[in-house]
Amino acid sequence: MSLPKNHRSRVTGRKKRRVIPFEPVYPCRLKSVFAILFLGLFTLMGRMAWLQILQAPTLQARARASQTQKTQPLGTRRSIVDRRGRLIAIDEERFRLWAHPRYFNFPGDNPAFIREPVEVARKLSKILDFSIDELVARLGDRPSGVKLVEGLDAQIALDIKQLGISGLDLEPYPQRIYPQGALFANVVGFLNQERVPQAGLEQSLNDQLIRKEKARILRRGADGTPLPDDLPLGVFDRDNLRLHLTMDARLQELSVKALATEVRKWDAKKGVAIVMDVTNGELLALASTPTYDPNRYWKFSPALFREWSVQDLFEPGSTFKPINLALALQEGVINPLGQVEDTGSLNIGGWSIYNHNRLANGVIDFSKVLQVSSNVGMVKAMRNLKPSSYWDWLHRLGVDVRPDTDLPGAVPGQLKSKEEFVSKPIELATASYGQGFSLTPLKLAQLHALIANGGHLVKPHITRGLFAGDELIPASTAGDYRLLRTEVTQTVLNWMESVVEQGSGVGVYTPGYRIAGKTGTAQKAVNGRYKPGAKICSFVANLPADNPKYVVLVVVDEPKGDHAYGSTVAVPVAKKIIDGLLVLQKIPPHRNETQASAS
Amino acid sequence: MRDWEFVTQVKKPAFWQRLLPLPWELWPTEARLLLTLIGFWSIAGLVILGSASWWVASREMGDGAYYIKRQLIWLTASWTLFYLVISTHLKNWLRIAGPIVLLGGFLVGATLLIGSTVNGASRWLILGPLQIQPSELIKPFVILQAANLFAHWKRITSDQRIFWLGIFLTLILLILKQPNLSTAALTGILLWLIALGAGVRLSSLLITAITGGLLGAASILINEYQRLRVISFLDPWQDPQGNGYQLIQSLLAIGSGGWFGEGFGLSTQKLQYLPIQSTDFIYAVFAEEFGFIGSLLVLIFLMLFSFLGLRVALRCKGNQSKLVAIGCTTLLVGQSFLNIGVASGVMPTTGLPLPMVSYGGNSLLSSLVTAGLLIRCSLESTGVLEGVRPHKVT
Repeated sequence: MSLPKNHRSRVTGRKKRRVIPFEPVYPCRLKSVFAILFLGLFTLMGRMAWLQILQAPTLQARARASQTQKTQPLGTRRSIVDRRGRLIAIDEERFRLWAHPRYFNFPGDNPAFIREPVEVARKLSKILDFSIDELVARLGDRPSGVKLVEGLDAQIALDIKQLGISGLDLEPYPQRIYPQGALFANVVGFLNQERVPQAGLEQSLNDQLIRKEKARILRRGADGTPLPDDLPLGVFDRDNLRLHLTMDARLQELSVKALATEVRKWDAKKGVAIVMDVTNGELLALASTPTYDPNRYWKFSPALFREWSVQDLFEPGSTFKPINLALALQEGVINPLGQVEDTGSLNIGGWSIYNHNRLANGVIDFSKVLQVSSNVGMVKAMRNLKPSSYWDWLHRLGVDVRPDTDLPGAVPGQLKSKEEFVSKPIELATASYGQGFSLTPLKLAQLHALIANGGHLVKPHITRGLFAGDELIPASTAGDYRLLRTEVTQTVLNWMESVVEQGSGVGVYTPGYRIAGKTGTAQKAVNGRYKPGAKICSFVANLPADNPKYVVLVVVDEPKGDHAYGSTVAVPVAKKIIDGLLVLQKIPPHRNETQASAS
Repeated sequence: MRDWEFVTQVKKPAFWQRLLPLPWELWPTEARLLLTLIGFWSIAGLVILGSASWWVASREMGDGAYYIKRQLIWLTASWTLFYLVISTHLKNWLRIAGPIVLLGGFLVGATLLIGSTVNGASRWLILGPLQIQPSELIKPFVILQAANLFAHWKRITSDQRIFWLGIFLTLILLILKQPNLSTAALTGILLWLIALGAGVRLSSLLITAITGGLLGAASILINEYQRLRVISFLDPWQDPQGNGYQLIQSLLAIGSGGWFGEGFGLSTQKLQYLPIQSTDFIYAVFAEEFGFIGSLLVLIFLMLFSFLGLRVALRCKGNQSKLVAIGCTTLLVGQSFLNIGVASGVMPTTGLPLPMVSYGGNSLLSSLVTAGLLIRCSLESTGVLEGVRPHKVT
């Protein structure tokens, strides 16, 4: 077309060459280049159709599979706190260290380089309590999935993370810790290694203690950043509910110590101390001995894992006498100012009944009956009550009914059948001084609370419920199930107060405070027969006597020794608990002697 | 002089028009369209880069706009250069092409000795704050020099042929040695297609193609990294965590797009699943966000671009400018093809930027110079510009 001159000179410059005619670039060649490009692009269109239409579902599913991460809930549990918010049980985050030797690589290394286990062990041994050799031995020659150490706390886990070693994996898991040790083991229970609750509230309130965590399905960036895409509502919510107990850790500690000292001193089998708020049934202390450390439960006999004070029955003996007198007063078969003649022994249907010291007390009033704990006096007082009516009362009080309580494993007491009770006079006679039927220490405490609060049967309980955050829960209010008249209970309280002032309960006498009490030394029945020499010593106190707020019950099973009575075994424990209670609950001393009864 | 008078008659002395090398009214339709397409291409590229790079930039640089800002600076520089290119006679570019190719070859050689190494390949020369990638910048000049060489292939002496073919071969081998298989292959294919367009005998072309293929095969066999890539390209699922990882993540991204895509900015694979998502695999991000419809539009765009390039080449008056036009078209479209091919797994994984979209100043400069040359060819094809007239012998 044009520009022939341009190259002519170059060509003519060569001597031997013939002139080659100018040849223009052929359009068909240019078009063929275009055709090649076009064909290539067309191929890509096909490829895109294949990938984005035909293969799209498969590829998308694969992409989603690697982008979404399903987080299984760790199964954390809620904390348990006492009435003042002190921690009793808490989940702590612990870490398990997994090693994958085939990925061992230090920061800054060539990514393809694999470190020797010993090099990793050397770095780890500076942080962990293990020698290099131990760690190397644990690593063995497995390429991956070696569980190296468990139970690492957050700080150590952080230290390990900061080493930046690839091939080490920290797996968080919750571990249940009981900061108060053995103090609440009998009621709170524990979790085993698999975090399955084995006893106590942990077991009975398992549903409430488990955090309702949802498995989350989250889309994430490759660095783990969660994407706000298709997220169900509330997957990040984490409740801070805590189970509040009615118990007071300081009183519990004091009770456990006092009880354990006395149980050891008398070489007794076991003991329990209960402090209950008589107005609403809240338990401030439920000390039991022997007990166990829930943090190291495997070192103790499984027999200890049940709380006997709510699961084992005993014949209450003399501590039941005030309740009997209240029933007699309520039914009007005795006069508050009445008297009985204590002859020291009695014969009922061929059975002889004696006072504990087999001595006669003469004509005595009912406060004296309680003070000297006269069996004969009690039988004579109760004799006027119709047996069927008496049985009905015992049943109405719930002696043979499972108490309405949140304490795990509570059992009903045992009462003879109504027919047997009515037909055999000896049944009524023994029942009048607290033998021949059995109940749990918890039930006895509940019945004494009834005397103390003016006739209400309260619900003994140790939990206030689940509440969020640090807020403390107000105490619940009393139930309104009144069984006895206030005058009746007040009369009995006055009689009981005399027991502390001049009777067997003098050991808890505290200057400035009015305390009502009653001791008990019961014969112990095993399989329906009384076990020779085996006694159950108990003491119950209501305080302050003018307007009772608390009932304190101490029961010690099988103390050894001739001088083992309620007054010698149980009263000293109660005294220590009462002293502590007065201080902890800031109960003011009583000043005005002339003050009349309230409630 | 008649041409000149014609121009003065029509010319409206607006300021921006005086800046143009040719009055806008006289621009051939192809040139106007191409300019529009290139403008659109570079702006769309910036937008796509924004989406692809924002997350990683905010993670690693603390500023989501980190890459866009830098790309914008490069874009300004590149468009300035583009303007320079369309305002300068093609003749001048053709004249300096030879020495620049020689210099470029020397610099590529220099990268082997003093280059900075990234991912096991030394492709960059550090020049103060700038990273120069000679193998990238040299590409437009390779087109120009190839046009010089092949325009009158049958009329030049064989020592000239051998000299320049030798230079080209050396250049390709040096790039291969970096190692940068993709750019080497692209350069080879580019030269071959220009030769094809120039009308070199088909038998010679066939022999060259076979030789080139053997060369590539040899390179793949010798270099382990290339071999692994080829193997992983054939079956990426064999080693999904290792060699197949990049390709798999890219395929997952493209496949996730489906018909209509996830929507702009909503790619999930770009969140550090996809490696090098703002350069080599930027197309995968685009495909995930815009789906098959988006992919189709890109490919149709490239087809339109190559068609316009062909039209320009056909309308050009000189052999050289024809070849420059078809060469520039081939470079831009061919490189896009290779990049998309790699991302979609029809080609072994190689690191080649998507022109005007991928992050990187060198690539941007090179691409816009190439685009500028194409438009210059179109402008000169009007015959209105001086360059059309025969000049004194070089």
